[in-house]
Amino acid sequence: MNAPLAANGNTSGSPAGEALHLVTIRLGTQLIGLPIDRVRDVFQVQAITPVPLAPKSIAGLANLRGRIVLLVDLAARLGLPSQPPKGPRMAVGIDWGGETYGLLVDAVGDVVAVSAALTANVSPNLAESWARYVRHLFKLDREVLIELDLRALLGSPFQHAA
Amino acid sequence: MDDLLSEFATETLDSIDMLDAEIVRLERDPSSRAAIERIFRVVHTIKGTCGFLNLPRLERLAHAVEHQISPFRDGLTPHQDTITGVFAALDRIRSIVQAIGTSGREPPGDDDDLMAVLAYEIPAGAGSSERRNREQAFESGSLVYQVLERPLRNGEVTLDDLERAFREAPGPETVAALARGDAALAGASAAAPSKARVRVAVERLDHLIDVGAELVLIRNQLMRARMQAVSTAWAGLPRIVRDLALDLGKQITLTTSGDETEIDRQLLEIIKDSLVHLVRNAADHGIETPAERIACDKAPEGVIRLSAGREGGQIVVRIADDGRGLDPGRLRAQAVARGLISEAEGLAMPDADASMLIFRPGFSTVEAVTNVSGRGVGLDAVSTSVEQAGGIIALVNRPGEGLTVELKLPLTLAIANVLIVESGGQRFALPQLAVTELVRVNPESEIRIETIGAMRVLRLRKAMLPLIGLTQVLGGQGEEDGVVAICQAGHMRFGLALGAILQTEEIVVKPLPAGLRTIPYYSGTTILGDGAVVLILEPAGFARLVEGAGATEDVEPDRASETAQAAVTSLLVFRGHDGREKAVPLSLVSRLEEISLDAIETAGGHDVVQYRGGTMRLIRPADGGGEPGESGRLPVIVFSHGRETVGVCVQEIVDVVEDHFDLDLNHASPGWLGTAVVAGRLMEVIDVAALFGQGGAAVADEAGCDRPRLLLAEPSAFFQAMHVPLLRAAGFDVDVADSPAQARLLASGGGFSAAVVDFDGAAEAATELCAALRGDLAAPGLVLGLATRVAAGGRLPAAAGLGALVGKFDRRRLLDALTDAFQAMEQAA
Repeated sequence: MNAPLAANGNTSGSPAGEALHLVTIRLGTQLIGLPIDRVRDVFQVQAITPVPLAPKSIAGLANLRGRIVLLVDLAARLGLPSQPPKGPRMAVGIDWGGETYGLLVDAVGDVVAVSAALTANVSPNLAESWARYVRHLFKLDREVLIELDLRALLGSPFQHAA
Repeated sequence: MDDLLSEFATETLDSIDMLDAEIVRLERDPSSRAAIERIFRVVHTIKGTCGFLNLPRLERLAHAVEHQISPFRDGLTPHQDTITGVFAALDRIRSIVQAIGTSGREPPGDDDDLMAVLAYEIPAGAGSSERRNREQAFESGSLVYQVLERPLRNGEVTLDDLERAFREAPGPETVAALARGDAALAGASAAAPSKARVRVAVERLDHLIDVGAELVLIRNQLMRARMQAVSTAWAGLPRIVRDLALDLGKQITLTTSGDETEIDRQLLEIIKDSLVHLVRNAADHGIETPAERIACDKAPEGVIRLSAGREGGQIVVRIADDGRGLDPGRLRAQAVARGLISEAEGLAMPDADASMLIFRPGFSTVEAVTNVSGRGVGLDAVSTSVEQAGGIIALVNRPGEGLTVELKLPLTLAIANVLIVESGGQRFALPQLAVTELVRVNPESEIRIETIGAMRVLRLRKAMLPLIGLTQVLGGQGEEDGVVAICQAGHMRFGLALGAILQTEEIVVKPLPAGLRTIPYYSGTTILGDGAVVLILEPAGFARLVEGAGATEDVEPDRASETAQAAVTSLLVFRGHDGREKAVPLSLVSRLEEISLDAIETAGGHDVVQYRGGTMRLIRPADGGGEPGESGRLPVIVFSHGRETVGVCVQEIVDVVEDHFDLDLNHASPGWLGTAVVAGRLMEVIDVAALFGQGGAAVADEAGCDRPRLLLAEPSAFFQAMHVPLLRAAGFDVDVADSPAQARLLASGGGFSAAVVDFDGAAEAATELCAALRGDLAAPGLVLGLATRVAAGGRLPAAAGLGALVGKFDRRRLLDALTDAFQAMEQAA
């Protein structure tokens, strides 16, 4: 069910020194990277328990092997048009603030090693809804990889106990 | 990640927490040999393991720390700066280990900055011979010491240190020594936990608890494994207090008691930060400077006392200081100045309430923001997390003499009894603790919904309660079809209209994800047996919706007697050994267990097992089954009546379903009451009464052959199944009549001492039957009525001449009424 992800750029070569490893995901056509050390799991969401009165970007709760995961509708969060789900959805489990979040995505791809040399400037025409969630932009061969800022994504709107 | 590495990270973090406390102890009491040995040993172990795991950066740091503290072993009094340096190194170690724990790698970077401070400040010539002498005194056993004829080079260890590392690595002997209470060894290896424990990740434990949710015994053991000594939460505090005291120029001692008090691990995690916060607060705001203390005739050194213990059904943790206490007047003024309360509110506020202002968000009493606290992120975080854990905060303020903060916490977070309810097409868990009563509303009955203005209220007998519809608050489709849970939250009583009540369940409570904590209607989450995640409702959140919407309290003191009954019956569905599904009313089941085949014994021609201090007779149902699965364990449904306990072996417990229970007696067979359509499937229904007939009769016969005979006129098979065993256990021979006509027929045969008559059916027929029975019975007062619903106050149908009319679900009262009737008869005789 994964939409195939093109092998993105020749970044696999020899990551020099301070290479950053990102798990790539796709939302619509956009390629997005998440820091690998925060990714706990990639899983197929079996059943979603909706949470009445929760913010729109919260898709609900899911049971990930006995662990309760708060599912975040990443598209809604980033202000992208939400795709009508076709079949079970994929989610990336993120450890953040002592809890596990599940980011609903359209597809999960490879781990990509990027280095600072590839960093692009934050594009001025990036939609504003996006800009605050972008940590870095990496220019790959054919497209741009956006590394999401988890703090902006998960830290700010949700209050953490500690 | 590599298991070994993650294990190492966890162990090391624990060890370092302990080290902090030990080093503070050492600084206070440089002569504490035990403290020195423990510190040395832990650092040494870290160093050794790092070498093994190839973590060069850590190894170098640990080595430096070891070098730094080794002079203390030779009796050198540690200098404050040295200690501060050691702490800095430990902090670095901690952060590196944390990084290893998450990434599995040592983070890049070097520690030359620390090395400059640390490694080479050691007074030269810290003689190794002295050290050896002391070691010899400390440890028993014969060892040959080899003397190195030159000072150690950087990076080298003495042979005996190496030897020591080996010997002190916890092995079976060490554990055995600990168990024997061998003081010397135990002292040397106090870093090992005081009891042998297995380290299990909390998630793994939680998973086990979920899996084992049906198995009460196993779960109890797991619950115990979840418990942890409270001291693990405050291990880091001595260090914090020490640093604070230095920063603030104060003298502060921290004492602890009740360190061994066990708290649920999860709860411990939640309150850990609160403890830090409160202790910081006591050090910063509570304890005065030495000069101030002397000026008010106090010892220059302030004391913070931490204590924990069980009191009643809860854990109480106290943080007491002997500082200046709170000034309610000043707190009021501050709160007014910050706009938290109005001036009028401030004036009206009693001192006790004013003290609690410190837990309000945005409250801070310090004028000068210190490095320590008073940055606006105040104690409100503490009250939030304590409340989240289901706890309460209380203050004991002694102005000028100190402040005590009490945290009252539940013993455990993990298990709760809930009703699984349905609303708007979704399931929720409603804590049973908050539900005082379940009622079914009906426009015709005295329990009905009325509209007053825009508000719906529930008329419940003599009370009017505010009514909240679950779908009305949470949204979703579907109408509440007349089931209302009467909830009590604080002083508020209100009705919560639900779609349906599905079942009761004992659940494992999991915390609400942080992102949902702003929604007041949920208190947690849980995973049901089918793997579904369900939100736990927070009645207090709903109560706030109707606060002030005055409920008129009823004057009825006894409302518990009237338990409302839903039109449906909870049925336990199980699979018999013939592979077919069967059912039994859940109300008749006392427990579900699993027994091991090995535990089955034979006594008096029956299979029995030891169970809860007695024996339980095992019955393999008439389908001839009873063979265990491959697991060698057998699921058993336990029925108890009186003192007798019977276990029915089944192949599998399938489910609990709510359904209209319509028993078809045409298909009765020995051991089976008949059949019923449950959840759309035809199932046999087990004859619980017959179970007790089988083996119980022999016992009963011995007790006396002149058991009084009782006639039960009850058409419902369900209630027959419920009452017959009960009455038999109470010492009656019971004859059952399905209809008034049959009852009359039986009674005319004579020999009955008492009769219990159903009053749910046509009242006239029942009244007539009672009149007829009175003539047939030995004593006329012994006719009792049974009705599903008995109006509170219990008006007896006068014509029936009943001894009493009791609720069908109120088994205890039925027995009491029978006893009373017999006593009355004996007195009359």
